[in-house]
Amino acid sequence: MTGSRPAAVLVRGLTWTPLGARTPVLADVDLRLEPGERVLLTGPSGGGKSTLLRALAGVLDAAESGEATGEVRVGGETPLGGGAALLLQDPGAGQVAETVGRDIAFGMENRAVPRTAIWPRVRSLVGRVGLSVGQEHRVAALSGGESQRVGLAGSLASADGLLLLDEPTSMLDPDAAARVRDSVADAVADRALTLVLAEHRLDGWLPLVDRLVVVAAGRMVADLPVRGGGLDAHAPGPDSAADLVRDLTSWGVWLPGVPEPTPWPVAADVCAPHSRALVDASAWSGSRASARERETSSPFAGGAALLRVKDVAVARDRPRRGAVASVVHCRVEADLVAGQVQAVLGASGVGKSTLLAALAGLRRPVGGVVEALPPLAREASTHPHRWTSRQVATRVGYVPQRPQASVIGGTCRASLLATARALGRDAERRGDALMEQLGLGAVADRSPYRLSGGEARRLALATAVVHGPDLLLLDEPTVGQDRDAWAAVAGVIEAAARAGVAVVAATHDDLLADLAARRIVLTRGADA
Amino acid sequence: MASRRTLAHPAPGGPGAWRGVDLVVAAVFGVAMGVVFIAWDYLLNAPWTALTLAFPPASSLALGVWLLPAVAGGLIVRRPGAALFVELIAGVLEYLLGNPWGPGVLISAVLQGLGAELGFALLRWRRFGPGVAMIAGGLAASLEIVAYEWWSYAAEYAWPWKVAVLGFSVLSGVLLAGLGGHALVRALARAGALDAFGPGAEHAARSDRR
Amino acid sequence: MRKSSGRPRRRSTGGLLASCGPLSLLGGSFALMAGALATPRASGLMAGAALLALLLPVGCGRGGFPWRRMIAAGLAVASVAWSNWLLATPHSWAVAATAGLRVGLFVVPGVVFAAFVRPAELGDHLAQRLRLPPRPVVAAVVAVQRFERLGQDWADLSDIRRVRGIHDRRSPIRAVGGFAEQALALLVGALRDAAQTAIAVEARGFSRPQRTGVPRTWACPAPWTATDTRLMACCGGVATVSVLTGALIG
Repeated sequence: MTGSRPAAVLVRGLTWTPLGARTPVLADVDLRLEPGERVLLTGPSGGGKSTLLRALAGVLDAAESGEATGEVRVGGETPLGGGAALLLQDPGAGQVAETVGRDIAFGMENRAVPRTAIWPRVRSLVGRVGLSVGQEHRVAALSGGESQRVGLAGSLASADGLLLLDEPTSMLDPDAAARVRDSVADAVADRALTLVLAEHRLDGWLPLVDRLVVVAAGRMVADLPVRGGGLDAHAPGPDSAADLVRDLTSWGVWLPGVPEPTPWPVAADVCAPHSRALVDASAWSGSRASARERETSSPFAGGAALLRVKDVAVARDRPRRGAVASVVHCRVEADLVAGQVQAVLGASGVGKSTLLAALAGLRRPVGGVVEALPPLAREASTHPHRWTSRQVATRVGYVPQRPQASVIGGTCRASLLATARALGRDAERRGDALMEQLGLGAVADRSPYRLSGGEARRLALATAVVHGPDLLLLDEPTVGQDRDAWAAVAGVIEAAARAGVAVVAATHDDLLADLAARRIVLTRGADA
Repeated sequence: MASRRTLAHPAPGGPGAWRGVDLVVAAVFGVAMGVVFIAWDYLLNAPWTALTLAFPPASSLALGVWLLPAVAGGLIVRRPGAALFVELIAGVLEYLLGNPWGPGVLISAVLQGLGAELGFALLRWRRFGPGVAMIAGGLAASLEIVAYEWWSYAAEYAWPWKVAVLGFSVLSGVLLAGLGGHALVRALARAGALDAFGPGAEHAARSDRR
Repeated sequence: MRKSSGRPRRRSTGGLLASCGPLSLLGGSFALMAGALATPRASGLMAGAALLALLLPVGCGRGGFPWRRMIAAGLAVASVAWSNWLLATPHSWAVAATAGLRVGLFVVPGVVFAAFVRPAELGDHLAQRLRLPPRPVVAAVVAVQRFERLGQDWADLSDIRRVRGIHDRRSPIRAVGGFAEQALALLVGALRDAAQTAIAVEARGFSRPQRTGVPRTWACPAPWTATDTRLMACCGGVATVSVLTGALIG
């Protein structure tokens, strides 16, 4: 019944044009997989990886109408939803039930597995993906990594010999991602499943696969064998392999062994705090903030302390049912200093986002200190949570964990400038410069909801900086960014610091943390 | 704006062939509207009730807000039953979370959904412009008042007042739920939230022509 | 097999309602509602209210009475009484109290019962016992499961409005406008996520029963128990008593 034999996959001349699109998303794709083969699909975002996975799962038209030609066969048959297993990027997207057990059972219910056979299989799947929570655990109380493993278990329950994974770890922290990769490795270990995985960060996954298939602009552009966890440079001829590495890197794919990207030079004046500009407008002319100054130390490196934080305790406003702690304790003692980048590190769920929310004046601390010092407080209260909305906005720029939430208005440009408009600040020139820097120039007049995840996060960064706040609070600003976008984001962060903004970034990204003058590591307190 | 004359983009596969995405998106829309209602109750209901204490029939001017799931649901999915399905889900959610009217909210949801359904049925699920939306909103309000509220919450009102309640409700249904619902669906389509549905396809066609 | 039911543990209050299924809770509510609306005179409504005052605490058990939900229900009943005084000709406190009592007679137990309905179980019962079409029921259960996350999204959107300097409480018109903007943002996010969910559930065979003609199974049963019958009998009894008392005692 389930997972008995690995499936062969055959795709011939597959073309898919969504309704209203001028060019096909997939154009004449051919792919042939032997049973048990493991393939990594990569390429630029928007290149058609996800669409190809949907075609293999038989759900190409599940969320959009369009025209398909060509042929797809899985195990010799046209795939019908519910055969192959498909795990998506967003851990929440596939959650269907209240409890873990019921969620895993969903696929079996749809395949008419009798009730008596469902529960033993659920039990074995919970063990197989290494879940430590019980079947009665509430799905809403799971962490992102646990959710993905529940999703994997649910997928394995219905897998007709084919497992499809669409960037399953891109929204997870490195530890959780590693555990999900381990669960996947276990699931495919006995080669009872054919595996197709879409990813643009290849490290960690390469040892699991036999082949690397590159999809760009809807076409397959390369198909390479992978041996011993690395690209086999000799297979297609050395020249083309080097070309391919260059192409992949330029498309933003993170390849192991290629030097890490460095922040792009960004002019500091587009990020300068408004308050600073009022005090000393001449100091921030464009000429002073040239790219060459990147290497020199910031004029505000020894700048004024803006905000003091000490052992702050914050109530979760909506305690997750099933979660034990309703108060988050952050053991931390720090001054946020103008011109300095500080990184907040720590495992998922330890309270990094809650700390940022407290710093932004969004939560009233129930213990400890969050004190705005005179250069920041100015005429307002020293307690950020007492600030009016206007007072917060003049002082704080904030990138939330879910960047789509920061959208206000119908176009990217309108959303970008909404705060500046509310504050009566003219920021159009800065806005255009920031959008250009962050690769958003072409989408300025589009709906902000139509952006990809990476674009939405970059727009949120531009939005947080553009009106010239003194303090920049960033929740995971580099998640989902390809190499070039990473460099642009890091460049803006550096430029803001050089211009005298105090930057705090909560992150799992070591490369970003390396840019910080100081690291604040949060650990789970004994009393949490 | 000339496009309003052209026939609406029909639901794929014929009106009765509900796709999975129709059901899932309709249901999530209903739940999200339920969340909006709860926020409304929490933030705006008390001032609104206080405002209309001196003249209770005026509180019916807000009725249209509660009809939005039905009208917008019908405009989005464009299939028989969509308006009722979405309104019912919003109602069930309110019921589960302790709506102060208890089972009354379920009765209201059924009547409001059926009323809107009737409006779409009059044009046989072929037109989804502001006119149809206003008819659907007006009928949803009428059915709610005439079949239920007259005999429950407004049982002892003198007849002129009962008629006044109906008038205010229909006005609200036509404007808030009808025109408002139509505007809401267009805004959702513009934001790219309805790409799998008729309004999304029509938005794509409109921006193509430009 | 209790352990493998995959259900979260029930509220154990020791009362009758905690062990009732969703259909009897709903059915009982509607029986009381029909009774209240059909009762002609105040005497019957008072008899029904007296019976409920005795039975409801027993049904709820210790700590099971949803006091917080009662505040809103109480206000609702009061507003009914008030408007039925103001808009009746002639004004009459007796008439207004009767109108309030009639609504209270089904609103109060209805709100209490609703607190004991578990959403996931409701889906199982609607599909297996009432034989409603399974796909809409499953879609509804999937969507209701999203509620908590949507509530969190709403809170995030409120935070953003504050940080971005456009949260304005002073003008009521701006407050309503801001509310509408925030609601639209919530809906856009919810619908875009729902499209992803549609892909996920289709990949897990949501529409497979319809395409193959093989009906889906249900991991959890939907039993109707003696407790359910008892609840229906109680509610039917209360409704009958209030209708008869109202008809016989002027």
